Amino acid sequence: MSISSSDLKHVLRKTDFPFCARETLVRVEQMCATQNSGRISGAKHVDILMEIISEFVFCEVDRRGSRKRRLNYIQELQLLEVLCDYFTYSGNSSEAVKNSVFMSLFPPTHSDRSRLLIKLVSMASSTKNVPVLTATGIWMQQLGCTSKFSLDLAQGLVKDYFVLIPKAVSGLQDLPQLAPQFTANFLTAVAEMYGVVEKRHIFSPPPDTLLEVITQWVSDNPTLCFAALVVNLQLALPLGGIPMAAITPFAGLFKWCILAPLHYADLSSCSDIPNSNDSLESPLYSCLHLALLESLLECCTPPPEVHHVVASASKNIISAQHLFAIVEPVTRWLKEHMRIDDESVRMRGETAVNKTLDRFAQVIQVGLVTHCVYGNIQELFNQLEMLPENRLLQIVINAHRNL
Amino acid sequence: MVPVTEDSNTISDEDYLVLRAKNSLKSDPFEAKAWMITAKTLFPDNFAVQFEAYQIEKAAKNVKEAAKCFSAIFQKFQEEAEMWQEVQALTTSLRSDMAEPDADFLRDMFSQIPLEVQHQLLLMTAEHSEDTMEHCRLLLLLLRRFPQTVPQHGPRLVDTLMTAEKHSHYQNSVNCFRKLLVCDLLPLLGSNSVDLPSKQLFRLLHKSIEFYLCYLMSPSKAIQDLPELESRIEDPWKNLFVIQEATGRKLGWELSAMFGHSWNKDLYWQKITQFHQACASVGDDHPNHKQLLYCITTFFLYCLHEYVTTLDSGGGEVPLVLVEAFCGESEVVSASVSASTSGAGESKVKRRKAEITDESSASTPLLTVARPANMVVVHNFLMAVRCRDLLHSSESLEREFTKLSQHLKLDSWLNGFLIDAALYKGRFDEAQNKIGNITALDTGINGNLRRHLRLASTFYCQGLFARSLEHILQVITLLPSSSMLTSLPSTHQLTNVLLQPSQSNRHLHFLPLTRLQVLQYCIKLLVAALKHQCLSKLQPDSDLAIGHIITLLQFDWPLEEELMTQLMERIRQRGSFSYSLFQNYVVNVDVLEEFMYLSTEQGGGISLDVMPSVQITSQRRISTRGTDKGVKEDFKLAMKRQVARSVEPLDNLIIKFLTSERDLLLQSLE
Repeated sequence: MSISSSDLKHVLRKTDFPFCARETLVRVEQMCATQNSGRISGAKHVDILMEIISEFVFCEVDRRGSRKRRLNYIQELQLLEVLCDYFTYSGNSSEAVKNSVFMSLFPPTHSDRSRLLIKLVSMASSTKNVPVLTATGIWMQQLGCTSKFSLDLAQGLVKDYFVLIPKAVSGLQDLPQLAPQFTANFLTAVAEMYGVVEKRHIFSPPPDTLLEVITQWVSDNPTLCFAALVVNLQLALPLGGIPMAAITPFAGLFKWCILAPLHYADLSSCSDIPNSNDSLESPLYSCLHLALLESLLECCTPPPEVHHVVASASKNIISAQHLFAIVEPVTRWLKEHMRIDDESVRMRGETAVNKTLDRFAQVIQVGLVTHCVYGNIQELFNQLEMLPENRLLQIVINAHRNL
Repeated sequence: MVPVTEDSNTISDEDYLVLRAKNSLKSDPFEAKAWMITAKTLFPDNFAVQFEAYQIEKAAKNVKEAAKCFSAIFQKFQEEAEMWQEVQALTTSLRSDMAEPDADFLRDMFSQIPLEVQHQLLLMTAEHSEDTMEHCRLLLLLLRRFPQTVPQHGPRLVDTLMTAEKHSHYQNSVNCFRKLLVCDLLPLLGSNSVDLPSKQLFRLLHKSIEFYLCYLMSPSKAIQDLPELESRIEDPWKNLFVIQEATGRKLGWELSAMFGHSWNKDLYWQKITQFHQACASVGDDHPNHKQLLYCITTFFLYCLHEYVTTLDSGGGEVPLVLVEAFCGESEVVSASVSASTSGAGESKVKRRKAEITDESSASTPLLTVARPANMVVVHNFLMAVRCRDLLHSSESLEREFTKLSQHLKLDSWLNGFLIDAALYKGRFDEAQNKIGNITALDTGINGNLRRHLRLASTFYCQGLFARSLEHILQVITLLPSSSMLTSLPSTHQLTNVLLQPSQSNRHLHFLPLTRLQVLQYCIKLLVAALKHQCLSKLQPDSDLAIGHIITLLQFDWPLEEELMTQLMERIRQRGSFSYSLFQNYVVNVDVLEEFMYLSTEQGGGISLDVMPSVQITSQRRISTRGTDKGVKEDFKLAMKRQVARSVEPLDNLIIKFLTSERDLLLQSLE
């Protein structure tokens, strides 16, 4: 393609929005394809891509490069439609080319486009647009599921979707089957998002609707949490792309379940009405905890019985580091809690801590038995020793120390 | 929340985990399960923990999970007594169809267990079972679920079942072991490529035929030592045909392939005769001989069974008996048929059908039934007769069949058919002999009724009318009661089917054993005998016989109006008629009118000595001279009194006539 940048822009300027966006996507795809085949590359090429995307797809700048007014809502909707259509109907181009188009559209340098990305993914979720969701899943993984970009996207989606739409649960039921990798990476992101320990609180609980959807997803799809590991990312990336390691949602989601009792013990001791609904731990945590354990067991049953769904895949399922990171907030919570004089509050706290430790021990046990924990396991045990005494935890430590 | 008591510190780690799981079972089943998972992975070699996990899943009715636990435990801890109990509960539930929640759950669970574990489980339980019946049932269950194991275990199970039956000393072949062998195991063996020695195959075929025959013939349909629920066999003939087909296939029999089709009997018969003709050219000692014997026998028994069942009122129909009926001259009958419109269409249909089944109508008797729906009995009868003829067509076949029927103890219930066959072939002595044999066995009311009807019928055929009458009188005492006792026999019920125009010289009828039809038959039999005895010989003193006939004809009046006309003509020719029983038994209006007419000048002024009362008052015969008006008036009055009696139920009147006037009847029959 020997057409120069100015010629290209000239051609594209002949059509109006949103047709120019559609035309531009075709051109971008062609350019990505040649790039993918390794013929032309270089900064110049990338610049042209970025320029035409900015001018003709998102309409951020005019022909002279100065800022334009933001698209109005109707135009935005038209653009989303063009994007969805492009990913749905560009049947000829390879996965890798499509992903490279997607990454060119939403590069880390353009965090301002995340608003539109959230809308695009929301739309794709509700219309079950698998190609867009798949591309998004890869985008998340390449940028890092726990990176700011992915977290922004996750947060936007939760706000747009799980909180806003009351019947979201039923609509999203088959998402794990349609776009497993996207769903898994989304889970990793939200798990991180709500697992962040804030100043006063030990953990920020996710909205009930989100918790409900996630619990159902994991319960119904034992392989869901492994989905990002199973995909061979190399094939989905442009030539020379370096696949980023997947982070499974296990550690993050387990963290919710382990810390939830402490959080709600706090709430019930602060609240005036100790038994109000908000201050009680949702039974969903118990259910999610079980679903995660079963998921590990089902997919990583130890050798003699061969069930290898993931057996041959990378064993990097739960990082020891992620696990022992849970120890710190627990001990911190305990320290604060010791200061409370109220006997009944302390008692309640003790029950909560035991529940936390029981769950923690169960995770360690199942994780180790299934060989899903990787990293410095010795250090993990050292950290666990710092926790208060708990019979199950002791049993588990003894069982595995001796090995 | 969780009651972690002080003593939990003293119990073992295993027990602690199980306790925690149990404690949280009610408040939070998810938590309980998480505890159980932890326990299971911590102590994979501890039976108590693993079994507890299973119990928890079972209690929660989680079929899939329970199946998983169960399979794991079964493979690891077969020696544990508790596990063994559970295994037995499982196999018991598999063999029953009881709709009970526990059994239902276990059955569902079994279906979720991996196949190889299912297989192992059934085999192991069977081998552990000390009771033979139990052992066999379990093996059968295994074979049914895993047909691929049939070659391995099937032949051994055959031996086990046969030995078990032998050692149990059952009197009857309808017993539990035989049932398992024939109904459950053989069909499995048949469909599978299992090789058995041909001697064994013959033995199994024998046992199957014997079992199904005895089963079909037993009125209770109970199988010894089996619960009632298991004793019901859906379609015994179909089952036997399947076995016959499969056994034949293994023996390389060409003919037995026909049992694999559900054809009508004509097609079966066609196949058999084709094969037989092909064999005939080869010679007697050919191996084909055996297959001919067994295939014909099975088909013969099939037809025979249906025949016998229909005769014995199988399916709620009226029971039937085959008797000699009558052939009329065509024009006489067609005249009377047109008189009763309801009979006309019916008899035409029958005639046509009978001609189809009988190729050579001149030499073979005509067979009729009372209702077209019963036509199948004729078909079955003729098929059975043909099969039997074929089985007796060569010396060696006959010899083999005799041996086989002795072995199968066919005689007892073959007898009824053989009587009918002898009657059909006109061998009346043989029929009577066989009737004599049957008395000991068949003592029911229908048995006796049938016996006397058959005897009356055969003696009549032999011209021994007096002896025939003896049995008719026995029949009269055995007549079934009828709900129609008070109403008059109408032409709707009684037809002229007993009298058929036929080119052949004989006519046999399947007589329904109802009061009216049996009575009608007896009357017809007597009328025929009286006609034969008196009318044909043109005896001078035939008034008594004519009077009897007139009395009897009233019963199904006007079916035989023609005969009545003939008799009246005879009386007119003779110019006088004397019948002392007239006043007692002649009540039919038409008949009485006819006599009134005869007594008038236009009627010929016949001298009638029929009213004893009239005779007594006048001391003179009624004459037409008009000299004795009083006498004439008295005669008229007497006739009027008779007319008034015409509403009396005829069946009772005729029965009274037969029983009270036995001597006078005998007199005209001798």
